[in-house]
Amino acid sequence: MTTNVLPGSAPSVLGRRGLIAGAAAAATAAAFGRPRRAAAQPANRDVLVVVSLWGGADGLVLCPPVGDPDYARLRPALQLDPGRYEPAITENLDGFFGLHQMMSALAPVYRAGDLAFVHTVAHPDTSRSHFDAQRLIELGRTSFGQEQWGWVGRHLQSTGAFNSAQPLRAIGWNSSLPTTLFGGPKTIPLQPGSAPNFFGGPSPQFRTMLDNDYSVLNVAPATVLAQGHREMNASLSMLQAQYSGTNPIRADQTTLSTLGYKLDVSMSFASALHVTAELVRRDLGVEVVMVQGADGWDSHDSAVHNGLFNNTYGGPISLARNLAAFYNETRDLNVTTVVVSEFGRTAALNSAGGTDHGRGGVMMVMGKNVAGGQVIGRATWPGLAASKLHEGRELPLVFDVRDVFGEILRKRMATTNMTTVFPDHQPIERGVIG
Amino acid sequence: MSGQRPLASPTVSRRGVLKGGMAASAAVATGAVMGTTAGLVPFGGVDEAHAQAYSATTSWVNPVKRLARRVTYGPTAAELTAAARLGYNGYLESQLTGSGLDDGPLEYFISATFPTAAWNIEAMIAAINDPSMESRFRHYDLYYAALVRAVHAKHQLRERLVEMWSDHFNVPLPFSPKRLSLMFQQAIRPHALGKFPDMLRAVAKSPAMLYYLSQSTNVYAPGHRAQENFARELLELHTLGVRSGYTQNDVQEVARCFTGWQAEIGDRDPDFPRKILEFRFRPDFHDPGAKTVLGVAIPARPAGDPAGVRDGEIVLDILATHPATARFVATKLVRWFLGELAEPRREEVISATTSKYLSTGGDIKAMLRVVLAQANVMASPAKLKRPFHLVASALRHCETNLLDSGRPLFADMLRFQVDHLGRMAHEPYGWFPPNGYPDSVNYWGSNLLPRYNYLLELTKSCRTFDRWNGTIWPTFFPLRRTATGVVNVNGIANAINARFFAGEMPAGELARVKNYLKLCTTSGPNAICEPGVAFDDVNDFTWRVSGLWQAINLGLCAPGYQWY
Repeated sequence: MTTNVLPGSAPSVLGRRGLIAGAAAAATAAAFGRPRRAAAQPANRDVLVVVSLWGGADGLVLCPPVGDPDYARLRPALQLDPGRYEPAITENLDGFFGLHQMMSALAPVYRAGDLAFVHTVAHPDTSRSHFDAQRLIELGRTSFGQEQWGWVGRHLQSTGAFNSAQPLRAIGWNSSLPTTLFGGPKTIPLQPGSAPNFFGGPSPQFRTMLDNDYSVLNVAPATVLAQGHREMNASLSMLQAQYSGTNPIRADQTTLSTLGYKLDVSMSFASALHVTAELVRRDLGVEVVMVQGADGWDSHDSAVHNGLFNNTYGGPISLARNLAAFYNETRDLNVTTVVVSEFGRTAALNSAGGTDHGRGGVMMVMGKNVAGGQVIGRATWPGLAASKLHEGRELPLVFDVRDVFGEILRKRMATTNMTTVFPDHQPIERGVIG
Repeated sequence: MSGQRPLASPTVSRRGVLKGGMAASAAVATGAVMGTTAGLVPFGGVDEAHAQAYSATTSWVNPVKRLARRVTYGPTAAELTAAARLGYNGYLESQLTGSGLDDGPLEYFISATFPTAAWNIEAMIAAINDPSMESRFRHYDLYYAALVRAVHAKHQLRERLVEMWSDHFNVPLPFSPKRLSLMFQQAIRPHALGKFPDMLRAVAKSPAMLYYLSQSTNVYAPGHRAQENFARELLELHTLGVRSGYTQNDVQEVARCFTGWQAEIGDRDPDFPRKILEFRFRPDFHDPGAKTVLGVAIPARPAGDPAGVRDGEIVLDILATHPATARFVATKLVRWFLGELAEPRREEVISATTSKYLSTGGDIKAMLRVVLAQANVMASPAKLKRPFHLVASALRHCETNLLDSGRPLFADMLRFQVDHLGRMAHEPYGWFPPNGYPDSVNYWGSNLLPRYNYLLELTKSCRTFDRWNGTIWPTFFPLRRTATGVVNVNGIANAINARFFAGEMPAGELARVKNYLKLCTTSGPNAICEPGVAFDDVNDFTWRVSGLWQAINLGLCAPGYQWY
């Protein structure tokens, strides 16, 4: 893996929103000088970016409780060869939690006060099924019923747009609309890599007839097709304009100046983050972006725990570097990024030197409006002693993922009706937003 | 995964179906009376008039055609003729048994053209040991074989089931094309219409699955829990289904039973080709202690006992005969073939199919006789084609010949299909998690642009690459105008309806194709070919902006062609 460190810009620990943010803003303005059009994004509202780590990311790897007396006993495999990664030290976050050396690219963001960890967080579902837990998180519901809409879909449906004249409110970087966005107006799936285009430029008459074919569908589930067609149509020309012209978005290369790590756009999730940063900077009214593709955290055996991550995008090293790069590209903007997985994993290693499906895991929340520089969960830490573990095997759930989402919704997304968004859980503020 | 859970029935939603987001056309009378033709569940009728979900049509009244849509990758004219001759039950039996459907020549073609998909273990070992042969293993062979079979197999129902089981027992291709090919040859294809327990047992011993779900590292280590990856997915995805009552302790006990079930992963061993391609039980890695699985006690064994392999086999026996497995498999079959069937029929069919599983030892043919009974097929709403299905059906309807590997651009043409499947996110064996590609409208219905683009490019190449791509051009070009020299609106539209829709195109969509053609002329700015180009002179470049090409695609891109 390449390090993507730009010449003369080695990562360093920087003060909270001081020099670094000002410098970044100035650099950005100088490099691009893009006059903003009439602002679509209100000053009191953030763009929400959700990066999902499907597979069940091991919170005890990402954010290890090195101060817990049982930790070293449970995780001997984390005694890594210190020469193997750069930088070689496990960051000390708060005297109790560390940051795994594979994740060290995020240390400067944490020190700048713009990154918070939430530990022992999960969805209350106890099935330990990837697919049920993922879907319940996306639905934002406690259990399955008739619900088809995602929690962001319900938020978009019930809360006014940044700018109602804009055609697009949410993007799922995926080949299908993520369940989280389902039910929301002006939401589309978008595949990283290139601009969406209609092959062959069918005639206007063709387009009109086809629009009519889809517009008459008004009974579920055919409405899914009707909405897919309509929203694609509505946002197509806007997106094509961004991907072309004098200042085109290039999904395959980063064009923003960055400090520290650069987005590795050869990977789809990083390319998605790059285009997300561009779209947000262009102030086009996009409010929520779901980033998928950073998957492969199902670390059942030692290959994963030894850092040889058997996944498609390069594991925690790549995750951390690309998140840090995304932070650098958006630090001056009102963007809140949330990283979520469907569950944590067993505390003890199994016979394969890996970990199996567990419960309490880790979320990350990043951005200028985040109450960063803290690990939420320290005060309520249950401990890793066998008697404290859920069913003797895993960290319990202390926080609900919806607590984190809910606080962001309330403080930075102008959600007007929380019970519509989360009908069967009243989110409790955990202090993730400053 | 939505495919394992009943979704809301089509007309039921907590909030009345995306009402906020759905701007109903002014022409639509919401809640208008469904067309109710003598007990049929209508698919839409004249869609504006009936405001129905699926925009397929009440003219889907012919039961044999409905069955042909469900058990094939798109009924061709030849298929429909044969089906009509046999009648509903005769056609169903022929597709269940394969009687009279000789795919021998097709299989010969596949083994000669796509060896990775067809070689047996001895041929693979010989090839691995011969370095000059190793390059013969091409993962694309597996894509191509799946596609060619879907398009050309006479025993279509078998291929539809192979697709379903390939999701049920999903293993992504990157985990070894050779192992995956053997899993399909040894476990999936022979049992696709056989007994489910036989398929289950064969898959559980296939190196592809064992390697993918990391069984090679599930070894006995005193003081450590067994590694649960395979055990959990076996219970959750292959047999009982999630939330069917098993406990975390059952998962752990099943994992213990399977310790020592392996596919070797090393390549240093002189016998390595055979070791990576064959199932192996390692008694020294097996947990010899007593276990209890779903209440069944499995006694302790001596350490290192080769009969320890029985522990896993006993688990498979328990699972294969468990009522929850019967229901889980029945539910999957019902969903695959009948889609979002409305209650109470859905529950009735699932129950009857579950009973049939239990009374026949999981006989898939017997279960399908229940599922595909005429009353059920006639009651089931249209189902969205997944992209692989869409591609296969378009190729079948274009009468594209994928069986002539000597033709120019043969490989390019196959590659074209797979590239587009990638853009539509439905490459064969391309789903990474173990639950397989979803079988739901919600998943596939939101991203239509890649579907349009595939259909547009495919039909473009009907002219540009007419050396391989079907009979679209010779069929449609002569139809372009009437004897009096005007655009042949009805002739073109009816040919589209006949070829792609078995003559049952949704009325509204057919009307719009005609309306579009009426905008075309044989000259002038709305010419059926590019302005300035003589009408008889449509060439490779102007074909794809011609009104004729666009009219065909208006039919194919419309909702009606997305369903089956």
